[in-house]
Amino acid sequence: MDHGIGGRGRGVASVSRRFDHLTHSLVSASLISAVAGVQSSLFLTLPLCCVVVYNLSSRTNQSDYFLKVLGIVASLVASAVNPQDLLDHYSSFISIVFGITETYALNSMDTQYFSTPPSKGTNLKSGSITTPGSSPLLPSITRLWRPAAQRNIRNQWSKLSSLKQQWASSSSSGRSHATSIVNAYLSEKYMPSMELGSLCDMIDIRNKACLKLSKQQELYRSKLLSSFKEMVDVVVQMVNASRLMKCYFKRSSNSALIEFSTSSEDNHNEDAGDGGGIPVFTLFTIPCFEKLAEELVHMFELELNLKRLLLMELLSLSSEASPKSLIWSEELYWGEFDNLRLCNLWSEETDELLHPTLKSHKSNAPTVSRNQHPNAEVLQVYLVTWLAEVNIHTRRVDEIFELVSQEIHVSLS
Amino acid sequence: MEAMVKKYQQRFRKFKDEMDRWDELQVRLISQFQNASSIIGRLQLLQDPKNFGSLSGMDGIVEALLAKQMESLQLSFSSIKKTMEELGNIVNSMEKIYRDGKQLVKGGSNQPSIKQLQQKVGLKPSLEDCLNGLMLLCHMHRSEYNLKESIVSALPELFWKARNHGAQDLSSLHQLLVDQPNIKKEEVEFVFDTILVLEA
Repeated sequence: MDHGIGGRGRGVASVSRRFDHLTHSLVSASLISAVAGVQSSLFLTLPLCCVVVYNLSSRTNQSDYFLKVLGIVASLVASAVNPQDLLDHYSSFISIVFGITETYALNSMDTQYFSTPPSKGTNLKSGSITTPGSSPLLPSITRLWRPAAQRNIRNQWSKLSSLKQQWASSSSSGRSHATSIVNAYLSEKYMPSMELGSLCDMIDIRNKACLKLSKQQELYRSKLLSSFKEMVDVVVQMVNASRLMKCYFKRSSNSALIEFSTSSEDNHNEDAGDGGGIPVFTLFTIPCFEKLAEELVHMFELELNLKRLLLMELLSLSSEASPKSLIWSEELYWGEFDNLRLCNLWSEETDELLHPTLKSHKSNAPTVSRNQHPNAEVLQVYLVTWLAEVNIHTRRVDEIFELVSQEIHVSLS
Repeated sequence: MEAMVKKYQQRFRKFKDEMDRWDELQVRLISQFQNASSIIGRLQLLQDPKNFGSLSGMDGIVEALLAKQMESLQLSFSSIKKTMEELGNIVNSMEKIYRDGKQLVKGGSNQPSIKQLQQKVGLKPSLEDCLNGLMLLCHMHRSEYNLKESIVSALPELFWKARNHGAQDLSSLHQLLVDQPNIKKEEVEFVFDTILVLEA
């Protein structure tokens, strides 16, 4: 459907260009006739104009504009019989004709692009690019801004896409470590009641096995923690990428070169970084890209926090009678909270780490009643929860990447 | 006759390719089945909030987790369906190979006599051996396909009813799927050994 409109728009545009061309030649012809008294050229151009107008009105619903122009042209031809009249009305004629064609241009742009942001319309009308709410950027700068912004958007989204894959691999290796912890823990727990058959005769076999199993748990705990660290890093980078969608105009004082940058710091021009709200490629403006990225990253942030809860549960698994207990508000490794703060998981009100929530659910009070010796069912639920990634809506994630990759013409998968 | 036997051997080689493809799909089907059945197996566990430990403090976690699991279950069902379709295609092309093979002796202008069909040259198989071999292999795969189809269609049913002894049923279905009782390995090997005797 989009295609059809684009095609028709192009057809109309070419006809209207022909029309413009003819009006121009008509005007010049009338000028010549006014000066030299040659009227035959005028009568030649008029029927051509009629044909073009007919052509246009069959294609668009803006035929009345062209009919108006045609009327004026006809009256001009009539007046050209009297050269003095023509010269008198020449300037007003010109302005009327081109005023009408300009209005048409605006309308045809609207049909062509379906959802042109309002600034685009004003751009065409006034003939110069203005940035609403900020200092105006020159059209030449906007022309340069586009490729720079396109490059940046492509970079950031490919980054997001590869980060998504990194997340998946860290998450799955984390899951296998978690499974190993749970298996070792349960084997250790059931060791006293295990049938060992002829192995019973070996001295101290149960204790040795328990020791081995707890050593294994230790090993997998550290592996699980490092997987979690990777996931935190991934989300931090995602947040960064989602914040670098804008492209600012950077004026360096000592060179004539125009440069662009993704940081607003060296931006003395005070532009909004969105190129005045024009689409970067064909449809999406900078805020559109930012919104999609934000939606995407938010899912991973929530999931990270849920994973942290599971991690704490798994790390504090122990068969000892009085195991050391992990506390939610304590860092699991040095610098963790700085990173989690970057991931928007820090509550400004209470100045502490947010408790895990699901999307569209409120954060609720923490449940302190942690069971140090959960049973096998609970552990299985933990593992399933780690695997399921309830906060990451797979279909929506795919949809977002699909949408963006179509827009930026880069395959993100 | 020798030329005919050569043609049949070619067909058997084609058949072998189809069987290799079948084996690949069998591996895929088993892992897909395992995915689905492990989800079905733990659904009951996930319905009890008591099993959520410290996750139970989170609002809506039970529903969210169940919804997510149902989503992946649906995905595995549809991938199983796809694999079954591919297996069906394989059986169809196996049967086509057999039909074409029959055409070779019966469709021609000079139909060989029974004696010619049973005639053997050296170690080479007779035409009858070739035809019977193809028929046997086709038959095995067709019945195995039918068995698989009924196993796979029992899966959603297990999900809806008999949740209590579901685990046992699931594992026996799985075993049935792995065993492929209709395809007898020794017989298949024997057929190929007789037909492709001089090539090995």
